[in-house]
Formats: sequence, structure tokens, C-alpha cells
Amino acid sequence: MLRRLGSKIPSLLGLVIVVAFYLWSILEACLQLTASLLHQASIGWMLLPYNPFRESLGESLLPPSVSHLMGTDDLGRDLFSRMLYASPADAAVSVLVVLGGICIGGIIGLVAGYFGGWTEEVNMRTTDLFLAFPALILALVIEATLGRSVIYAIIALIAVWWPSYSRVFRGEMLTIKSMKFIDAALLSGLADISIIARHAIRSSLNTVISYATIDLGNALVVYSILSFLGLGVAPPYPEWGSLVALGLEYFPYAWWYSILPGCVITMIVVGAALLGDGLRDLFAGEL
Amino acid sequence: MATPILRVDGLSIDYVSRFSGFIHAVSNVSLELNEGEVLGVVGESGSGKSTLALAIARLLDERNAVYKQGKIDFAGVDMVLASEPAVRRVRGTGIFMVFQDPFMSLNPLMQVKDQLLEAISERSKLRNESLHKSEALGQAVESLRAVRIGDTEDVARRYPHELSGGQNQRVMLAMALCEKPKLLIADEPTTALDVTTQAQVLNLIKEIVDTTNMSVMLITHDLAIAGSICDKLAVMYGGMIQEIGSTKLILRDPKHPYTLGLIKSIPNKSKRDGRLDAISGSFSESVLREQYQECSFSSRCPFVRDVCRKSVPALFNSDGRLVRCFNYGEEHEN
Amino acid sequence: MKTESQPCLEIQSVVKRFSLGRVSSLKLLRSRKRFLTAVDGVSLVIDKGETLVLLGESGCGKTTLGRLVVGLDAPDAGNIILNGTKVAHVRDKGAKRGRLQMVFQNPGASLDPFMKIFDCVAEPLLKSNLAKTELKRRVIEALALVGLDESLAGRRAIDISGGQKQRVVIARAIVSNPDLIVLDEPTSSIDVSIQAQILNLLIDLQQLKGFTYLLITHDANVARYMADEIAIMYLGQLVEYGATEKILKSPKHPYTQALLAAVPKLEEMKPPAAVVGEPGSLTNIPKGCRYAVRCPFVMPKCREKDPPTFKTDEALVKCYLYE
Repeated sequence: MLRRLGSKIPSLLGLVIVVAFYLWSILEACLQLTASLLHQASIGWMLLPYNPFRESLGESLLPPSVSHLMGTDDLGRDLFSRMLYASPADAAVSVLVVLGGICIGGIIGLVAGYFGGWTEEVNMRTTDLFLAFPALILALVIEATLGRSVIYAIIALIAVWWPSYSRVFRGEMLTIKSMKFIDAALLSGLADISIIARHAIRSSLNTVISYATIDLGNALVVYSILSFLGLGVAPPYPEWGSLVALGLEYFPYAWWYSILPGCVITMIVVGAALLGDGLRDLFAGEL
Repeated sequence: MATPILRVDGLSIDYVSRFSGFIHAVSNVSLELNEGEVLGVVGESGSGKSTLALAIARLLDERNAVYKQGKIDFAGVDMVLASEPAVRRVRGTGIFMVFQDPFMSLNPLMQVKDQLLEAISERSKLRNESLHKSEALGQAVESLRAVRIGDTEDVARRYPHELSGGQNQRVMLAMALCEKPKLLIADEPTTALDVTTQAQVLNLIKEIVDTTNMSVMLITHDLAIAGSICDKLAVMYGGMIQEIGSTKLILRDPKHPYTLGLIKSIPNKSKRDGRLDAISGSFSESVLREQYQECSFSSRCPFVRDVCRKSVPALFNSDGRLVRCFNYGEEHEN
Repeated sequence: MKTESQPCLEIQSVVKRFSLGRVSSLKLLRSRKRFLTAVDGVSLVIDKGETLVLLGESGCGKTTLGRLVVGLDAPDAGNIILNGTKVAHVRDKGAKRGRLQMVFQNPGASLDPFMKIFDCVAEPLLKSNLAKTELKRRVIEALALVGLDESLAGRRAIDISGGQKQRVVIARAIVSNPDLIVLDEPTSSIDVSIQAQILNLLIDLQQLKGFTYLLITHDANVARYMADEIAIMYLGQLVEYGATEKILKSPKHPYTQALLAAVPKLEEMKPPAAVVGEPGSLTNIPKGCRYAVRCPFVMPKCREKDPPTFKTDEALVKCYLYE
């Protein structure tokens, strides 16, 4: 299967970008966890070119060069190292938000589609309600109410994310319901829950997987926006979105401060989209 | 004998697929159809009958279908090589196609009468007839009456989804009457209809042929349907014509083992009279991959011989029809 | 109808209505009809080990009746009794499972495409608490009975051919040794040459295991071959019911006559006899006999009152001609 994905350049590119991003994030997260457990902060930036917190006013606002791949910020901190240090947070948020959306939206959508009737009506109207608000505004409101923190940001985003998954799963469920193998399962005496688990989930997953992959990119962007607006992690911890925000002050003179983190975010989003597209073609071909 | 209205000569069509390579959907098919004649092309899935029909009307998807060899001559137009504008002129008033699913051929957004009027105006433009709008409307209603649609005025104002499958299929035939094509190609026109509606449609087609001298190519998987209105039959298997000739000859005295098998498969006796003489095995698409290696039916044939697995038989003349079987001759194909 | 054999299935005056849901046409609203009656008082008996064929065209209610028999839907009136006990809805917790099975029309849709064949066929046995080895043995046995090799068990449903799929569906239906198998157009979406194989297979299985079949079809030839008894349905009602040869040789009800005459016969080589008029619709049931509008023998009383079922020597017929 990987071979088929790799046969097309765009999806191969997407695969490489996404895998590199998440693998690095996992590695870096482990290091940071070890660092906090052993109270030895430097473990966290063992693999980075520079200590992301080291200030060096003499080196402030240096343009990108061989020694500082993305330049330095106003306090002389290496931007590339700060990006690398911050990536686990963004990676974790994107995955958690999408997974949360799938789990909650999945349960609600599958149940609504399977049982129909008023469960479906209630579910659909609730979904409509959530979808009526621009996702970003809703997330802002929720987080503003809860307070500033990564956890609250994740909760807010999941709350906004699940409705579209509920729609997707319900749609899949309706298609499957009309297939006679559901009737056959009923005849075999299976209870509704087993039927949903045995048949519906597997069939829906194919559609959902490619959708979810693209969605990772979306979640990343929206979280970046939240952190751009100051609702993510508090300083001095770096964060991709907030780096863009901080850099605005020095734009366009020190253009690299805002633009380069933005480029990295864009690259990951595009990579996720390419991979998701490739997965969708892959599943379509298999079918 | 008049010149045939349709002449297919050695036609071979390949499908190119990304994952499965070349599929020789139609191999070396030759047939002739005269004015007022009804030809039945009979075959099961994989026989190539639908591909043949689409190829004649040049409706194949050119992105993955290739006219590898052969000629299609329709009333002087070379359907393989002609330009797109020339082909478009042929479609409708030259060749009119009716498909299995009538809901797909009719425009769901137009009333029946408007679609018929469109057909009439196409024909009158092409044949340089001047037609008044009221005359055209009259012809449209008349065509609906000719296909035995009750409540003609009412139906004319309806949309396709408001009518039943049988009514829609008859609207298609009404459209054929409006366009007055030289050739009607009907691809499984009654498969989705009830038996009683099917009987009506079959009678209608025969009537139209008798009154307007239209030629018909009827594609079906059902030998009995083909036998009921066709003058000639062409039995296809694995992309090739296996037996072709007059209906009476073939049905009274079938020669090709596949034709024999098809006839015996029809369950028109009681189970108490014994098992059905089924054709063993099943069609495998692999016979469409290797062209001319062996007789495509050999793996299922009860009369198979060694030579059948080594090469493909040519069409032999036997008792007034052509049979592609080594039991009736020795020449190899190509 | 034999009196010596044990009745396996009894259908007693069963009625099933469907609500028309969101009424889209003003006409329907005015007529105040909010439901249509898909099955209107049908009674039948099937003896053990026999095959009853429900013959009819689209809209006659045969598929609905099949679903009622098997418990996928519940009747609004009347009883369906299998071997002495009432058939419960599939969702009823106390219902006995696996005794009723169905072979569906389109094998592609009735198999979960990504499920392994083994799991497909094993599904009816999941609730019977069988040991793993015993389960495996029964699944392999069922596959062998339908002519499929053990090696197919590991493949997914989308990877096998249409004919093989139909056999898998049959294997799934027989694996739990059901008392009754309902087959809904089992050969309609497969090639003619494979159809003959499948029909032979069904007969073999019945002779070997003594299954009882309720076979639903629109194909008179299939009915002729498979049926011990035929029941002909039109617009939700049973119009003729009796032994196969008798009905096919001398059909009594005008609809049966028209239906059989409309089948193209190979030997005749001419267009089959056609009935005039449109097929009836369940949303527009006329007063009196439902077939009166198309009947060549219609009498004034036919339009007044729906005829009862009369008993003749050869069959039960719902027609005033046989009073």
C-alpha cells in the first residue's frame, strides 16, 4: 500500500512531510518529558542547534544564514531551534483535536444514522447549530470563557470540530444501512451495537481516514491562529502561531521572523492535504 | 438486395486500464444490418455486446477505449475516423440509442413534451423540413399516442421522475419516432421493466420497425427476448461473435456449444424432470487479456478438444449460419 | 396442498402498511391517504421440505411479505407462524435466532465488502456459543456444500466474483440449519449461465438437508422449475394459489394468464402477448377488484366489490369468474 502511495510524487511528498513532522514531534516530546522528569532542562534541546531560550542581545534580528537557518528573533534566540522545540505542541493539538472530533462525532453520527427518527433529528439540529457559528469565533469564545491554556484550547477546538465528523459518519451510516448486509446481520441475531461496531465502523473508516488526514492540517492552522491571538501556551515557551504574532512588530524589516514560521505551517498543511488526497485515491482504487 | 445500412468489419476495441493493462473487449467483430432488419446481439457479462453498441455510436470514453482495428460504416459515414461534428450529425437522426435505465437518458429538468419537441426540431433542421411550432407539438403528442401512453396530454406535461420506468422507456421510443432514425440501438431496454411492460415495449419496437422501416440493433442477455423480435442473431462470448445468422436457423438448430448451453440453461421445465443442463464454470476476465491464444469458451465447453486450447477458430459456414467452433471447421483465426 | 406433510410456515391474513411520510403532492393530501397497504390480507401455508414461489411484478408486495416472514418487519395485522410459534421481530430480545434466514437479491450489497468470507458465513453462528473449532468446521462445511473451496475463506468479499458471492450468501443462509429460508430474487442479478448452476445448487441442498424455501421472483421460468406450489401476487393481494403444474398449465385468474402470456418463449419466435394499460399503483387502489381496469373479462360486479377467494379443484382464485 505504501508503494502505491509512493508511486505518485505529490502524495509521496505529503507522506514525507507529515511523517517527518510527527516523528520529530514524538522524539522531541519524549526528550522534553525526560527533561522535566529529571529536572534537567537541557535534555529538551539536546538535538537542537541552539538552546531555544538562550538570549543573546548581540545577535538579535539576524537574517537567515548557515548558522541560523531561520534567523534570530529580537532577543537573539535562534528561530529554527524555537520552531523545532515548539513542534510537539502543535503536533499534539492537531492529532488530539482530530481524534476527539472523530470519536465524539463518530459516536453521535453513527448512532443518529443507524436509529434515525428523533435521535437523528436532534443530532442534526445540534450539528446545524454548531456549524452555524464560524468555527474560529466559537473556539475563541469557549476558550476565553475557560481560560488560557493549551488544554482549554484543545477542548474548545474539539467542541467545534466534532459536528463535521458527525455529518460524515451519519452519511456513511445511511449508505450502509441501505445495504442488505445490515439486514443479514440482524437476521443472524446480532444486536444493534455489534452491528454498528462490526460493519459500520470499518466501512466508514475508509472515507474518514483520508478526510481526517487533510483535517490535521486544518486543525494545525486553526490552533496556530488561536496561538497567534495569544490564546495558546504562555511565553517564554515558543509556539508557532505566537512566533508569527511576535514577528509582526518587526515586519517587514525582519521579515523572516513572521514569514518563515508561517511557511513551515503552510508546508505541513499542504503536506497533510497531499497525503489525504493520495489516501483517498488509494482507497478509491482499492474499492 | 439493398445496401446494408450498417456494416461492421473486423472491429477490435481495447480498454486500457491503469491497473490491469489491456482488455480486448471486442475482437474482430463483423456484421451487417439492412434497412428494416432487427439484429439481436446476445451475450452475458464480459461478452463485449455493450462495448460494441457504444462503439458503433462512437460513445466510448476515448480516454480509455481504443479503436484498435476495423471499420464501422453507417450509411456512408466511417464512424471510427469521422470528425466529431460529422459524428454528432449522425447521432439522433441517424443512430438513436436507448439504454437500460431510462431515467438516465431523459433530462430530469425538462418536461416530456419539451424533450420531444427538441428531438423534432433536431430532425427537421437536419432534413431541412420547415415545421410550425403547433405542427411540431402535434407530432410530439402523436408519438406519445403511438407508444400507447394513456393520458397523453397529462403525461406530456410531466417530468421524467413523475413517470414509471415503463412509461419513461416508452417516452424514449416516442423520441425515436420523432427523430425517425435509420438505426435504433437498444441496450437492454427491457431489463429493468416488469414482464408485462416488457411485452408492451417489445411489441412497440416491432410495430415501429414494421411501419417505418427503421433498423434495430437489440442488445440483450436473454435469448428468448432476442428471439421474439429479431430477424438475425449474433451470439457473443469473450468479445467475439461465436454464432451469427438468421434467428430461426440458430434457435431451431443451435450449433455453437455456448448457444446450446444458453438455451439449455433456461429453466422451462419442472425440477422433477431433472437438473438443469448448466454451463460449467464461470466467465473469467482473463480470456479478454490474451487475444487469440485459445478459444475463449474452451474452459467451459463440453465438446472441447486439444486444438481448442491452442488457437482460436475462424467463423465457419455451417447450414446457413456462421459458427466459430473447431467442431465445424479447421481454419484458425488470424 | 398436501395434508400428510407438516406445515412449516403459516401466513394468516397478514397485513402491512407503510406511512407515506412527508407528503409531497397536494393530491395525496386531499385524498387523506397517509399510508399505502403493501400486503393486504395474504394467507399461505408452506409444508416442510417444500418450495413455495411467490410470483409477481414490482409493487405487488412480495418482497415486503418476504421481510415479514423472516422478521425484519412486523405485520400490522395477522400472524406468521413458524413450526407452531409466532415469528418475532429481529430486534425482539427473546426471539429464537438463526431459524429463519434470507438470501438477498444483490449479492454485492448483502455482503460487507471488506469482511473476510469466513466471517461473513460465520455471522449467523455468532450467537450460538459454539466452540471455535466447531464454528470453523461448520463454516468450512457450508462453503463446501455450495461448491466453494476452503481457500476462499480468507479472501475479502470485494475480491471474489458475482457468482461466487451468490454462493457465499447461500452458504451464510444454510450454515445455521434454518427451518425456513426466504430467497428474494436470488438469481436476478447474475448471468443466465450461472443462474442455472445456482438453481441446481438450491435443489441439491434441499434434497440433501430438507430445507424449506420461500422463493420470491418475477421470473415465471424460475417459478416453473423450482416451485412445488405457486402463489401469484398483484397489488398486495394473492390472486391465485395452488400446485405449480396445475396453475402453469391452466392459469385461472386473468392476471396470471396475462403474466404467463407476456413471457417471451424461445420456441415461438414472435413478440409475446401484451396487456393494454398501465400497471396499477398502490397509491391509487380502485374500488372493487384491483385488476378490473386491465381485465378482459371484467363484469359490472367486479368494480363494485373486491372479490373473495374461491376454491376450485386446482387452485384458490380471487376472481368472480369462479364463483
